[in-house]
Amino acid sequence: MPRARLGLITAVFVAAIVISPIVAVVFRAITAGPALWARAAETQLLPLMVNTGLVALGSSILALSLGAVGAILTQRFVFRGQHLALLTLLSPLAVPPYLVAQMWLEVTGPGKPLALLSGLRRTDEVLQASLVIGACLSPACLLILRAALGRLDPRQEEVAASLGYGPLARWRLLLLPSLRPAFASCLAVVAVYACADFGAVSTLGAETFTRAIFFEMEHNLQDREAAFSSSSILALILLALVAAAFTADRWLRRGRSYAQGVSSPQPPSVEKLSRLWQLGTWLLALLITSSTVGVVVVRSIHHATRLEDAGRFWERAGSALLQSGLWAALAASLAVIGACLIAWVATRSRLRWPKLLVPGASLGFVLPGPVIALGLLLAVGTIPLLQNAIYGTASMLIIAYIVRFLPEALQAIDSGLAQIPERLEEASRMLGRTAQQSFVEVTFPLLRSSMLAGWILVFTASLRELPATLLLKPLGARSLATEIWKYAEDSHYDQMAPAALLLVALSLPSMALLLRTQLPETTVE
Amino acid sequence: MRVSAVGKAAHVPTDPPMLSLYSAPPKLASTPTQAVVLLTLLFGALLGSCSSSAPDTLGTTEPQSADAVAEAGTVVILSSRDEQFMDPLWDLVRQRHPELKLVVDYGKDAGNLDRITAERDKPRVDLLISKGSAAVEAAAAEGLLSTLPAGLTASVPERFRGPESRWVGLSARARILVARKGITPVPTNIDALAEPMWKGKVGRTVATNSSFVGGIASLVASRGEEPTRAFLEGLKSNTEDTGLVFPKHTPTVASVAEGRAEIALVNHYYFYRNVLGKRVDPKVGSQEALAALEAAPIEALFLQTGGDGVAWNVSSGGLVEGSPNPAGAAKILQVLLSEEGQKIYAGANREYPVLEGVEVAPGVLPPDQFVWASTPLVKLAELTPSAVRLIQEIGLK
Repeated sequence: MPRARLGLITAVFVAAIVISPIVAVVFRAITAGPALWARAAETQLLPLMVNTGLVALGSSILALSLGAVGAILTQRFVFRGQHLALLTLLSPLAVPPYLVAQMWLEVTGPGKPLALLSGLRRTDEVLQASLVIGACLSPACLLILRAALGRLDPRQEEVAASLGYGPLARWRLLLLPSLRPAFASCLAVVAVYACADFGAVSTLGAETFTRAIFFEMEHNLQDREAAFSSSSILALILLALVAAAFTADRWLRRGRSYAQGVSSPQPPSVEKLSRLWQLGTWLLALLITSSTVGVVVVRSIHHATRLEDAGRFWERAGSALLQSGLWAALAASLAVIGACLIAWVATRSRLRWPKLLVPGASLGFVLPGPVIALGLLLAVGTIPLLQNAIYGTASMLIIAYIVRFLPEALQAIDSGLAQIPERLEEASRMLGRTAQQSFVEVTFPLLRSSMLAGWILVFTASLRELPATLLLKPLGARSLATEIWKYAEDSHYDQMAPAALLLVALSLPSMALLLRTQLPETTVE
Repeated sequence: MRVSAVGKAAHVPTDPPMLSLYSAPPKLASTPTQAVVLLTLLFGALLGSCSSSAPDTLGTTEPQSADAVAEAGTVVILSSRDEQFMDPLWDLVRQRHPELKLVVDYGKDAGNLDRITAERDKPRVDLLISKGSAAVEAAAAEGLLSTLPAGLTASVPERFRGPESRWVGLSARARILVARKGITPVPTNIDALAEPMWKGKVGRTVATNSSFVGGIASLVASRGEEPTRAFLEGLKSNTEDTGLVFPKHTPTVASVAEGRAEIALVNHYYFYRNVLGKRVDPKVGSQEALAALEAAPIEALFLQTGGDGVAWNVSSGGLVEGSPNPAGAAKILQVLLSEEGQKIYAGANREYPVLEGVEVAPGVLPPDQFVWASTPLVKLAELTPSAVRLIQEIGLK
């Protein structure tokens, strides 16, 4: 079966590209030598671990709380304007946390509208970073929990109610235990994101691993080899931390089956929300949206309208948009193809080990941007031919995006493929189609929407990626994220405004896609 | 009863195992083959498009291509100084040398350094411009920069040049104390920042700020490691949990202007930005600027911040060894070091020109009224790793 092997080999090849930066970083860290390890252990590790852990913990608890309240209010109750409230609760997805962090710095600055809140700065940087990341990621928890609530079998609750259990007891005994895996996923997703975040923690001055890695790579100009080795040590420890977060997630779900059986044809039980609670819901939604996307959009428009020499900055932002749009589109297309291939091989192979390709290729999800950039630079540096061909070109950056965001495409496509019964293809083959025709004529049309979703996810994520872009951006090029960063670093918020507004605008397609999945009744198929 | 057990009881219908009469042949047959071909093509296209997918989209320069580098008259520049700042200087270069075609990339020092290191056997970059001196110093130490023509650097004081003139300073900045007017006692040197009497009244940027690190390196150079460690420990105790450690210089100065802090350590131009406005207004003359400084609640103290004088650093430039167009790059440096170029440096960001006789921006304390620390920049670059290590060991945020 040479052809089958070819497919398998290609999938392994794609997975290998994704894993190579990790291998390079781990190898570099292990061979770094005891002196650098000792230095890292003496000077940095403890505070970095504490700070990174606290940001991860704080932001995930906040995101989970906000998300849980939002999910319960919008999933278990009905009220007027519910869809609008849901949209508002999801709106932070339109802005990356680093932009929110920058805008909070701006708006609480001296002489600015919220200067009164500058006292907030007295609070710990770690707390500030947790607030920003938590608020920005609350929609992710909202989505996870809404899906989990939607999957609950309402008949269970009916049975419990008929046995005389009141609403509180039903929550305590039935709903909360069933939601435990969803809670664990929320905590894991946000904690992993927080560990990998670079922009928000840097803006607010919280000393975490990503920032330390970036600092090491940017500031040790005298001894680049040592800079790469020290960064690798920090990166390896960060990866271990993230692995711990993942293990904790598994541990929380240990030894339990949460299968709910087939989804029920009955609609989930919903109650009408009282006026007071409605008011509370709207206040929560407004608080979340105004403190994230609201502050970014309002302040950016404010600055954009007052920008001197505006044409020049809009033109730059426009060219950055085209540039990073092209990279993001290429990365998204390649990631979707790669993800299809890996998911396909993993689900349809008769062998066991290819199933490992999916988790293997998903490793990028936990890799912070600076680590991916570091790993790629190390990996490419070891092969002179490759170095001559792609060093300092857009290819490096696009590979970095693929490594980082292929997991998002993979998740969409893998779950999509899992829902397409193999029997369909087998039926098609029994009817005389070849395997290839079966895929093209049967599976592909069914998989199309998953592929589109994966594409949009990767595209949006690549477009806003900051740290890897900062480190790998090719000669003479601009990206929206780095333009924003460049101006914001020097407090030129007016010059940053055009790029910020374009970035928010480009997040709208993924928002629309999300809404489509959340509001099935309004979808027209 | 356990209510949650209900879910487990539900029967989950599973698909019966398939009789794989027809599914036995490989499913992965031709589709992946296509995918391989497609992937290869896409990667090929990607590699091919590397240079063309990274066109120079810098509003002010011509579009580039890989071949552009080889064209006569093209000068490839890597700059860690930002575009906004450099644009007027490039305009001047174009005016003087219309035959030159500038290809400029704005990046970070580390990335720029890594790039010329990676390309050392086949350099593509002609000119390296940096906002500090550490990157050019490191590049010079690695033999990546060539010695500048004597005619180019003759007019620049030696302290603003690298060893063997492998790089040249283009503008200088001073590390100063900004203080609220009327505080007593008025600090006489940088040690005030670490003295217990100022606890809770000291503002500063985060310790990862590159100017901060440079200032500490200057201190290590003049005093040695242990006194610097003592200073950093005092500074840490004075600023810990005060809310007066800021991610950037601008809010640091503002904290003093607002009275939340009484003294702070910053680069001189951030002080002038706070008092005279972010951008230099050509309509504001020296008299108005001095009046504004008089009326401001804060003042700049040009004190001993680095041993025997004011700590300082330069922005810099150097020619890449073996580059395709060294003559073009030298012409550009010549323009940046000309009187007109230096005026732009002095005017745009209120930095100190390195060419003697060029005036500073209105209001800025002229360089003949204070003493620069004598530590040579090469020493500063050498000691930066020690400064970073000290900061990390003390755990200064």
